[in-house]
Amino acid sequence: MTTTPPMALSVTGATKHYDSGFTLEDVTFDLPAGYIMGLIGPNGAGKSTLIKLILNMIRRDAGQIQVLGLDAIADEEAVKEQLGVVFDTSYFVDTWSVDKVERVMRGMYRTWRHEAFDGHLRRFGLDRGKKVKELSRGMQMKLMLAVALSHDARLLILDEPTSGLDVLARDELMDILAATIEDGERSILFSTHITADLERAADFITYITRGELYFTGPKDEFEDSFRIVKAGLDLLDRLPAKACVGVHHYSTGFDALVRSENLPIFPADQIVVEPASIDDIIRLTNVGQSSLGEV
Amino acid sequence: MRAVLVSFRLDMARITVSSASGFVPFLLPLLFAVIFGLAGRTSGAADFATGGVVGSVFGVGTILPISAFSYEWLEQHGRMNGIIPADRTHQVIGRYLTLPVFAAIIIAETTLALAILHLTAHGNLNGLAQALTTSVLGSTWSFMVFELVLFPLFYRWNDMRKALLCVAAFFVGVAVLVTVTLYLVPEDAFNAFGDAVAQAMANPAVGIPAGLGVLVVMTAVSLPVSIVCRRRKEF
Repeated sequence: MTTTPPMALSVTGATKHYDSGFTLEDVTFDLPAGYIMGLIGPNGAGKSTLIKLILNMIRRDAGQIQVLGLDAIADEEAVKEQLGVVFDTSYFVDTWSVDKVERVMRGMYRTWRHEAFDGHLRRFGLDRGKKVKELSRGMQMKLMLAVALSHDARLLILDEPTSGLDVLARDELMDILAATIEDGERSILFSTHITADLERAADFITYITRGELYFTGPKDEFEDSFRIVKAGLDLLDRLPAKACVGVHHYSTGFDALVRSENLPIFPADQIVVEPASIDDIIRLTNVGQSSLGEV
Repeated sequence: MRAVLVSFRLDMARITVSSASGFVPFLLPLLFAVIFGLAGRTSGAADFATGGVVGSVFGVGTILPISAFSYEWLEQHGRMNGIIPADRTHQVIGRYLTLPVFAAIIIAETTLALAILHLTAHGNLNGLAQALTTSVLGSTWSFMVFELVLFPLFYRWNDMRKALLCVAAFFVGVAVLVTVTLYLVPEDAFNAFGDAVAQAMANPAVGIPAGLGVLVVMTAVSLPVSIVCRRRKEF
């Protein structure tokens, strides 16, 4: 007999229409408890919209969202007690000191642990006397993370936390996240367009592009599903129309993103096949798309 | 209930901003009391001085609860509303809870400021009780009415300019209503009615229950409108 693992987050048919014309359409995915999921996609794909829907910051037009088995809207208070959130920039009042941040936040959560917060401040090198506006972007992110980790949040939602961080700070964050889920009780949804972070830490990938879900599942399965095929231009004209997911032309040849099951279509002696990285998949599934800013 | 208190505490933290500078606005009316007291001692304009002190307390007390909105309208900080364990209804009720707190502060501070004024101007507290009776109830009641009108407007518009335009439109509407009334009702009768109301409201036995009654009715309108506006909002 098999048992279904408990879900930290379950999004079913989430849809949001904006007056601007952008639509997040019918997004469905599950994040099992105890894992890290990378939420990826180019700028403007709908990642932040999806996170705002999960946090009930914007109204959804259709769908259901369950967080830790609770309805994200009907049980909002109980859900938020168990959520830790980190955005790309600080959400605290700039003139609050780090100490005031704790005084404000400890009253919000029943499970606030002063010792844990104190430990995170020491670990991150955060000075209680400093004001939020005096902290660098990386330190502001660490302050949000310290808050998120100090009230036993069972689901961490991080929206582009590594944007603007140097490689050392990003590396440190990844270590912290990996340690956070070690006990199997906590889960992390991590939105980013810096996919190198995910190569190391993510167990699952949810890939959104142009407001639609493109893939959701284990990261290895995501990478194994695609291959990069390199060949001369003469071959391109002889390929069936839907053999390639995306093609990037050069003067002497092309790179094509190909579903692994379609590889036999290609003449093995005329091509070079390479593994596809997450960046390759995003790049070649969005050929011709420009970065127009996050929606 | 806990979620309402969470929202209330967050709003108070927004209003007081930081532990030290948060108290500065409350000190200003006391400073004005000394200045007006000294001015009143030399000119004998006690009424002007009392009005100035009460007005400064009213001004500070009125602006501070509104500052919770302006912090919330800051793009980055507004997202905190989507993080705290409280839904939109809790957040609105929490903000309305700041009103009785500031009403109590206005009463306490007006009392203190008028005491300082009397001591500075006259060297004693004679007449303080009379000054308090005629000013505290009215200013506290006005504060509550003003905020109960303002809050739904600020929940409706995420833009201080639009909200203030609505406030201005509200006062213009009141002015038009008064003008039309003056046109239709003889001035003597109007003044007599106004004096009678002011006299009755200054009597705590009448003013307190009447004022509370008006506030209950206004809250019964203002709060649901604010909740409806807030529930439609996206952060």
